[in-house]
Amino acid sequence: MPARKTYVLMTVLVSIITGGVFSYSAGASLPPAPAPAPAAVVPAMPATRERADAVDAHRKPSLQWGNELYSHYCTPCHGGKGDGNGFNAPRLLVKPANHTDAKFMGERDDTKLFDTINLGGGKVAKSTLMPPWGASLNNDNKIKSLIMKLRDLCRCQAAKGW
Amino acid sequence: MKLPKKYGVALFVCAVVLLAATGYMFLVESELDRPWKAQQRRFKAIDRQLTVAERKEVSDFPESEEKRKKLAVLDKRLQSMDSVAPAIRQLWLTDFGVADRCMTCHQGVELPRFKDAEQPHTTHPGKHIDPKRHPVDTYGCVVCHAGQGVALEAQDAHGKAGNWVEPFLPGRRAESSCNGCHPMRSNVPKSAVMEDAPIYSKGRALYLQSNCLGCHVLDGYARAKGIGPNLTNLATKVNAGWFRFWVKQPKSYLAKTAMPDFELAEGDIKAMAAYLFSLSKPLSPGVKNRTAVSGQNLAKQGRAKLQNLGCLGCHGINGKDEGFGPDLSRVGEKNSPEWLSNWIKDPKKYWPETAMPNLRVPAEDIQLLVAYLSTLKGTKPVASASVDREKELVDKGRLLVRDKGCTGCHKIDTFPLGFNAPPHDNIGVKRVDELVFGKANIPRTLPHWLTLKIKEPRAFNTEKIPTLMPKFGFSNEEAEALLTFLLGQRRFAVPDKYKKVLHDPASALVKGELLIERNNCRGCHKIGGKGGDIGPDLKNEGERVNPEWLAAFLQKPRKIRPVGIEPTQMPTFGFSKEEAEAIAAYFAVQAGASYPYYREDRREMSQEERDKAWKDYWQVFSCQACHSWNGQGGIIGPDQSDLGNRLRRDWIAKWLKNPQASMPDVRMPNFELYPEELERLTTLLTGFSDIPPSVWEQMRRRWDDELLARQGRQTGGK
Repeated sequence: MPARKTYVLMTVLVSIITGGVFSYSAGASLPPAPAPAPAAVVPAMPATRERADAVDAHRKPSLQWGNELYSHYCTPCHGGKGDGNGFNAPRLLVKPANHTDAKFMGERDDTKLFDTINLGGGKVAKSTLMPPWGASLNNDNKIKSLIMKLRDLCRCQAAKGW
Repeated sequence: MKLPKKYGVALFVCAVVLLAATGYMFLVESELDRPWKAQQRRFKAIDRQLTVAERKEVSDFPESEEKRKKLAVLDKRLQSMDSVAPAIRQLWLTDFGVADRCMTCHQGVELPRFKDAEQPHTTHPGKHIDPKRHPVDTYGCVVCHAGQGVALEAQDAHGKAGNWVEPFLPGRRAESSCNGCHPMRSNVPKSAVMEDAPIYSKGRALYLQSNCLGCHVLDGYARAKGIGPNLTNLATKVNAGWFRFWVKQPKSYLAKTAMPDFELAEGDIKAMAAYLFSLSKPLSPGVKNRTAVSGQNLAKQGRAKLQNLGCLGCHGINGKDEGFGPDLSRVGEKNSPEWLSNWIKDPKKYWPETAMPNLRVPAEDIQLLVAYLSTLKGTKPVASASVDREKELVDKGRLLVRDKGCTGCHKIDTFPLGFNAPPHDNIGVKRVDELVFGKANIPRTLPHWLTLKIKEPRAFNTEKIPTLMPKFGFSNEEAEALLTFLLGQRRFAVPDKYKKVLHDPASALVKGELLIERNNCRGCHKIGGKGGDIGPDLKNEGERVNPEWLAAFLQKPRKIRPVGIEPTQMPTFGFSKEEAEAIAAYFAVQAGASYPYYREDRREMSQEERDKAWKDYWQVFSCQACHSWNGQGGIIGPDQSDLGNRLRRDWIAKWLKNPQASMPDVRMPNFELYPEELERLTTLLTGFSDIPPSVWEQMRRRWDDELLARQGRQTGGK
């Protein structure tokens, strides 16, 4: 019965072909593309010294600033109260100026104070134990702030304006 | 049923046609549509899309030579795309003994334009396969990512092929393979990071930090010293109540402690206490704890003292346990005043390997410190308890202390240091059939097993095979880092020419960093921009100091900056000569300064110049106002007695020229020296360590008199 054999063979072939097509379509399908990752958030850069200085360049003279500078640079000799009794004062041959002395400070105008801080004691016919701070502070507004602090300490006004 | 003959013929013809069609499907089509061919088609489609888009963008540019060139390149790419036939791309890496067909599907790994494409076409992330580092032609993929390089189907190449000897290392886990060519052993600092392998580096740091080497052996790694305190005299340090509280759940007190949780039963803790406390010898008498003497609040004074001593460089007192040393917020409950005073006086006497330095605290200050520390207690203080001394209990405790592996981290004089846990050599390729999964229901692969073991060490525990490893409480992230590290512990068949040590344990930088890390120098100092600000910033140290001086200083530190400016003093770490020299070399090499340094102190100076220099020193710039010599003079800047030996000549000149350039806040003024002044002052200062005191005294008198006379003239003339 050749015809029956053909019939059976055909059935087998059809099922094989169907399987092949199925596997073909399965192989061709690809996984979907994943969604793109969100962009990373760039953290803010920390402030650096350069930036702090750049801010200082535009900072106006103020008593607050004078306080900060005075306590850092001046108190070792002139003392926290400004009376010339800093921890380093006993080691000096000449007693540091008493900034709370209204008479002494009142005799000095702001220009004189500016020059003393800027150029040091030696340049204004005073003791060289007071060093020049101009180049280190590198900002006239810092010196002006320090003068405000000095005027605050002595509760006195300049002999003359500047 | 009998069909007519013509139907038979028709059926036969149909059969032949179908057979031919099937043959075609089998032989031609199915081969055409192997999965990798589909991937290559998809790759081509993406590339075309990208290239067309780029071409459109470029064609909008204004006309230029560059534009024409770019367009030509793009056009050529588009044309050549059509002519590329699908093919298996195979690398045969003879040096590594592997065949690698990964690029058959991962065609875009080297092409930056595929960075947003989906897998497997996307660009390789990071700089790992940069042609200057690991060109794909030389290294392929399997050398780092393992897996079956010759497989052409995803599941075979990097599926969960459990029994494949070298399991595929997906993504960041491939960092473990860095270990093959760039080993970092225990002689490299914990903080050392391989730039392209942050996870592996973190795993390595955790591995060392958690002292896995206390119990496990790993080839090339040495057991660390001084992880946990010496327990021989434990009874003098803590009481039994505290011992129980601590051992039961160490992390409930110190969140960052390396001490793991042994999940001990109450009875076992009692027995261990009985044994450990039976070993202790009595303590030498310390100071009596007194909180007040004649109305003075000693604890309050002690608190101020503690801040000035720099204790906070290593210890926190806020219960957060963020410091290098243990948090002190409950130290008053934990330690007796006697023990504390002995400890502060000389920590290395109780525990020779401790990282705690000797702070050289005077006896009266120790009393103040202890008065303060004794007030530090938790809200619910631990009740003290007594210890049973029964022989039976002591013997039971002895066995427990031995079997729990306490000596992996703690030295106990009656036991040898160490404990035998399975070695970690080649653990990265441990075969799955060697692993005991117990009742754990996880996929049977090495990474799964290791991850669970790291996180829940007792998960595989069965009655027949009990697990001893304690629980460290690693987070998922930490567990992954440790897993990556452990997977990297395997034999690598790598020819020597590929090996490149990135952190050379013999180099000055690595040797120094190891010591800096171990002694927590950054607790107080900034080194390389990182660290605390209790001590001076050491950014210029190498350029500044004579390394010979630094080595001597480290072995026997003394106060350099006066107390008014710098209240803390450098403690004594007990560095050996070799260690001190290694640190000195570190700073010199880090700064690119000469090492060893040959002191150039005697530059010729005529008598006339010398006189001028002395005048500059005393009268013009009055250095003595702030600096002392042999204790005479100002106390704002450092003493200058050994200046010439301490500082390098170039540094003295640089510093004098503009101190603020090196240290913006320094109180040393910039005197705006002329070059000749700078030269002669520098020469004078470099000779300072060699001036006889008599000469100095003579100079001091002479110039002091002059100063007073001048001052007299000024005030008199006014």
